[in-house]
Amino acid sequence: MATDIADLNDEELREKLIEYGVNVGPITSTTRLFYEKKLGKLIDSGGNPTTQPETEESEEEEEEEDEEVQFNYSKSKPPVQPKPQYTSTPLVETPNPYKPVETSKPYKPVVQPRTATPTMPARRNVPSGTEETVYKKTEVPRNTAQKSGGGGGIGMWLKLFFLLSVAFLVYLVVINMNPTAENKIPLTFDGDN
Amino acid sequence: MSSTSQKHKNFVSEPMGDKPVTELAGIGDVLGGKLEEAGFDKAYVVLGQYLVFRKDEELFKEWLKDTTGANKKQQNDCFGCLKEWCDQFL
Repeated sequence: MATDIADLNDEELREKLIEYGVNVGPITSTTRLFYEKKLGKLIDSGGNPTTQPETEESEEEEEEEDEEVQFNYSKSKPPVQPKPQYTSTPLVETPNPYKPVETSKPYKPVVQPRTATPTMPARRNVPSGTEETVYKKTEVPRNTAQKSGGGGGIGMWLKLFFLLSVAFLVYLVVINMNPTAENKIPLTFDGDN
Repeated sequence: MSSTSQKHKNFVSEPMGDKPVTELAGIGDVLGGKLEEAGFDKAYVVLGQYLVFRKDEELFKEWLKDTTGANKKQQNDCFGCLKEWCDQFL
């Protein structure tokens, strides 16, 4: 049997490894030991020298490519997820649960600002149009993120933008609520304490 | 945001030239010393080993563990560093 792995010469060791589908490099003084170990593991676990695909890297690459391709198609698919508050705009991020975690990563930073928007209706002074504009703004950066693949950086800027806009709105409200202060800000409505 | 260290970023940002092994991500003084004892005194020699393994992740990590006693994180850091360097420059 192949218990005498150490007795195999380099060529035989290489051939055995190829039988198991291993991507064998040169058998040198530093690599031989590890190829022997690998062959030992394969024989112990499989015992069947069929071409077992060990190409983990290529599998991962294929998965990533497929995810990107599927993602392009997912735009046209109507989302099944319930989105009661927000009308129309079948946004791309909805197919998140169908996809593995890898593709959801570029969209996570986009999802978070959306959950922040429900707090906006508390400020009834703000016209509902801002929600739509907010929506539109979330769509565009998402598309660019999808194409460029650098969604992480854009998501951070988006978060920052929302944070600043919310902070600004809070500031407006606070300023407006102060009875002694003059109504300096032209955007707010008068007598709205 | 990436999860790679500053050391990783520094290493993959330029050709490695004659950088010592301790410049590799995951390789500090202790592991670096062990690599040097084994004859791998420069980063390019470790790169050579990585390439001889045909860039195989499992084999390289096992070699690193065997040679230096590196733990999983150190193995991952070093492998990832070399992999990305090769993607950029090789």
